[in-house]
Amino acid sequence: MNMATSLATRPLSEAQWQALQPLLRQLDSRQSLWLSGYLAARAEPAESLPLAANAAPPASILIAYGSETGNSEALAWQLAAQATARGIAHDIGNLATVRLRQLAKYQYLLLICSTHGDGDPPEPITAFHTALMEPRAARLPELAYAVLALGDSSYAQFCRTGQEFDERLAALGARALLPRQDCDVDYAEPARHWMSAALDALPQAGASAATVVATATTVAPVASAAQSYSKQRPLTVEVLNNVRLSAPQRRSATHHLELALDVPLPLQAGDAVGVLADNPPALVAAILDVLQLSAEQAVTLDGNAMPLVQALRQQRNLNVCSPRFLEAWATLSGSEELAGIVADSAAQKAFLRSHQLRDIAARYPAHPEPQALVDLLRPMQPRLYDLANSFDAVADELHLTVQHYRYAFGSREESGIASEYLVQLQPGDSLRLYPHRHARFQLPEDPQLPLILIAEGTGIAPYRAFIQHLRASGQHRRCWLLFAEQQFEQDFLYQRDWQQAQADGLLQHIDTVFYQDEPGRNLADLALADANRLRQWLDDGAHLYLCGDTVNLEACEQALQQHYDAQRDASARSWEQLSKDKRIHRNLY
Amino acid sequence: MTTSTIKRSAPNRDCDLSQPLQDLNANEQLKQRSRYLRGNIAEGLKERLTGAVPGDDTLLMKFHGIYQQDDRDCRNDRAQRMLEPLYQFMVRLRIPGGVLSREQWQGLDAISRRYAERGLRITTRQTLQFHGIRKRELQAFMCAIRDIGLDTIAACGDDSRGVVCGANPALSAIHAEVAALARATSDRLIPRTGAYPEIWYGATPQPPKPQEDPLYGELYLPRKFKVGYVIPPANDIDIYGQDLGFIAVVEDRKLVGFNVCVGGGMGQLDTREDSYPRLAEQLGFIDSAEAPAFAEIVMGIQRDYGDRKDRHRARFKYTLDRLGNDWFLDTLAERRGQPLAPARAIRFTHNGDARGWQQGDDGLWHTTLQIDSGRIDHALRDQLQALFQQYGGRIRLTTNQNLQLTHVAPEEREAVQWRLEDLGLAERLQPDLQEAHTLSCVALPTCGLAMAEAERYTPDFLRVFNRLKEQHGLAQTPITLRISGCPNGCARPYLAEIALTGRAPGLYHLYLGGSFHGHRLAQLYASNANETRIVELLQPLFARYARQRQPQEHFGDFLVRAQLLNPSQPQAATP
Repeated sequence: MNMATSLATRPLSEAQWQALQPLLRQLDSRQSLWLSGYLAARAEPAESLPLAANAAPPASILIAYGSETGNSEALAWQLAAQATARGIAHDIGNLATVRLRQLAKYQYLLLICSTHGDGDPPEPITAFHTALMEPRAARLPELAYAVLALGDSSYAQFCRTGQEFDERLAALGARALLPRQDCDVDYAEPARHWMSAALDALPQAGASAATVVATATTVAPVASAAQSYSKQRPLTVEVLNNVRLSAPQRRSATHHLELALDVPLPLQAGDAVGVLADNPPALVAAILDVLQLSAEQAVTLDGNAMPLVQALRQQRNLNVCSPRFLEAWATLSGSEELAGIVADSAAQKAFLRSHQLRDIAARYPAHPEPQALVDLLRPMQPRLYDLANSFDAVADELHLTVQHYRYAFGSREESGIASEYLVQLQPGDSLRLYPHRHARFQLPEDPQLPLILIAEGTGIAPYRAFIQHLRASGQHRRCWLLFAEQQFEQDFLYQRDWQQAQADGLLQHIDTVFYQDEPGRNLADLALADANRLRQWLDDGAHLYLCGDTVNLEACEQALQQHYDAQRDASARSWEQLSKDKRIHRNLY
Repeated sequence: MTTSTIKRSAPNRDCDLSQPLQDLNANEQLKQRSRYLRGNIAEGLKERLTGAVPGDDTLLMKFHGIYQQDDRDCRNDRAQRMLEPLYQFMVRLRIPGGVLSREQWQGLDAISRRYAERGLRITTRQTLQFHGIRKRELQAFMCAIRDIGLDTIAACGDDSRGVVCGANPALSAIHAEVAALARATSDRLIPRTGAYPEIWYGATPQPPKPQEDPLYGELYLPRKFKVGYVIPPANDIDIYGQDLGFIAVVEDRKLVGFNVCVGGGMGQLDTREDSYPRLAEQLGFIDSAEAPAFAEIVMGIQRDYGDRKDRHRARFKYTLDRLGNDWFLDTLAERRGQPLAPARAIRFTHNGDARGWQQGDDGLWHTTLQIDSGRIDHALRDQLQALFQQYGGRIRLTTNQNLQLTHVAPEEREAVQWRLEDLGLAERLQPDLQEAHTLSCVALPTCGLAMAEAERYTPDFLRVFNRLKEQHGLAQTPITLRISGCPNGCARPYLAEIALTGRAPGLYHLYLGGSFHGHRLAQLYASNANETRIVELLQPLFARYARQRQPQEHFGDFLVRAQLLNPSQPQAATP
């Protein structure tokens, strides 16, 4: 490069230029793009800038992009910068992470999207594209939108994805702000025009409005009149998404559930919800069948009248029977054999361990009245599931991490009622639940204290909520995550979240053990591999959390306790004292 | 003006390494920062949060023969599951001339079973690559490769790639001489950095020395650099696709030297007009003993003058087009101390591998096993493992993705044939004629560049293609056919009579009119065609070829003679 030429064409003083250099060197490509767009728009004639006096109330505007190679993303950041320069508050979101239902929260959508190959959406946004195209996608009558479509005219299906978005948004009742702009590989000029026109079409807000960069955050629902939900008065929520996290071949699959939350619940990271599961319809039908009872017969439970089928479906445990039930059944069936079992308490215990309701009903036929049956059966117990999200980050959803529990019962395999019910839920289904506080599994109030988070399997769920909370509240604690599962490649639950948290400095250390990859290693080995750090952090006041399978985590705690107590200085607090100080938090199941 | 006063103007150097580093491509800056290809690879291998190697180190790992990839078949599913892509590594070996011993084969077979997925794959550059190696096993894998006397240095990256060498079993002594030169050239041109043993073998890290890689310097080459040797009449290695090609000149059954050709290259971008495949041009003749040193000089010219700002214009072919042959010949003469002698007469007749048993003039026997798309997996891997339990000859990989049994003693030949039959391998000696003239690259699911299927689609396409040939009575006429998942050209599509390059799932650009022995580029005939359309387009061309061809005339030559291609003149090399 000829230095003399470049100096002559640069309208800056040498001092200005030198002052700029250190900053410019720090910028990555996205930041450079943003800045170039910002400065370009800032330099436009003053009359195009809105006057604060006639500023409309700030509209909610989303600039969204779907990008395969980065062109759409770069344009979106340019557009965002220009909007900022014009004082237009907006969010910017990648369609790879934006959810369809979030669109309903916005009045304006400026969408920039490329088409991949011959008519396919960019790979990262497949999920969003599919959701929008689904016949049951929610209507968007309040939304106004504009689409900039990028493509390559050497393909027959040129700009197909942008066209699809345009047509689909219109079909869902959204209003086009301006005609869609299709661009070929030389997109710079048409894109510039479109961006300018799109910004002109928006309500021009006060010049002081700031950009809000919130790719996936949402506004918290306004707290309504205190309404308390409980086991008796559960809240019914809609299932938004049910994703299998584990590999398809794994028998005891782990699922991630996302539930719509339209009212606030008094919960925070560390808390749980009680889920009221339904019995499998096939099991209910089998019981009605073997007992020759009609589904519609009325019964009363806790003062509420309902058909028998509903009571069996939702209110009663159809698997495990009580000694009281067995005694009554001996009478109802008139079976001497059963009466003999009931008379011997050891035999009764053994019998109940190996026989469920349908086994008993089949082996000792009886015909109880419907009301008598429901009175004899044990009530269905709710199951607790830890929140896997923080309302600070995702306010209008509940996330749960559920492992399908399976166990051998005699010669057959049984599934846990609640987990089986949950993993089979489909989007659109509803679910009854109520809030449950875990008072002893909360983050310490002092924001300086470090956290040691130990989990196996689904025990990682509350830590996802913790990290989301730390991010949203801007806390910079030291955090160390220790996690155990089966296989690195298939079972690293929420791997991308942890990677992001580490990249963002929210997690300092992540240690993992995957039992199938490294047989013989366990969680305690992991923590003690850096025993100095463990001791140092505890000396610094760290809180230690254990979550997941009771047996394995108790073994882990025991190993840590032994090591810690053996190594500690006389002056340091013993493990038991730490526990008494409420610095060891356990959530075991 | 007399010759002595001709003073050429200085070449334009505004894009090569004479420019300030900060003005060069980001990759150049990365190389410079890398401390001779070390980067943070060793630390990245230890990072257990991801199966990938973080950051820019993946670019450096290519110089070590390793490509980070992911299984694209499950990419979406894993994104839904909040998992990172299924990262894995493709590792390519350096096997100059493609020659292996029986023991090395047994070692490679065991390594493929222990560490890799989908067996072993013979590449179009006469080497082997393994897919699906996981990060946590990468170092153990590399040590296992070392333990059988092989390495992966510079199998990828901006450096001299594996040196390929053609075959001519009939001239055994000459073949041996040329193969030895190919190996010497590879050994001479590979990087010398201590990074390789440090990272992969656990050698004690040394602070980088000031001139650790004297041939390359800190910036290595602007792009890859491919060297090949060939022995006419077979152009099995596609000499006109090499950055630097040595064509053996044989007189009175003696190797007298090489015609040299420069500037070949396949890769192109569909989105850029100034990106194109190019044939190497034959520029002169050198003595045979000079070849390795000559290669070093030519590579040095490309190192110093290649484009380091625009990576898409960085291959040697663009340097030559940008600065001109005259400049190149002058610079070469200056560095070499003398101008090039005129090229000698040579003649190619085909670019496939010979079929059946061939006897060399030393009495030893050679034959070729047809390997579809070079993939050795499942039953085939087991059959070869059984074959090589007892075998006295050598093994040679070909750039047509086949495996040759070479140097089989006359007294062993019958036993080898019997064992081939016994193992169900004998049919590979007389393969389907069309399969033997078909190449495909790996493409999906592991190659990050692929836009369409190639290897996995080839068997299906061949069925359709062979049916079409039969309809026109062309079943016994071989046509070179190459299928590539993207325009980059790993399967050397632009030198084929018919080529498909991937554009999107199920859609290909159709190229026609390369020559049967690879001296003429194919031309784009149709864009974004699906299988039905490709068949529709070939149908009338095959019909005319069947009726109007001259004796021995190949399909590509016929298309050109009958002016059935685009009106622009076909570009041909001048052997």
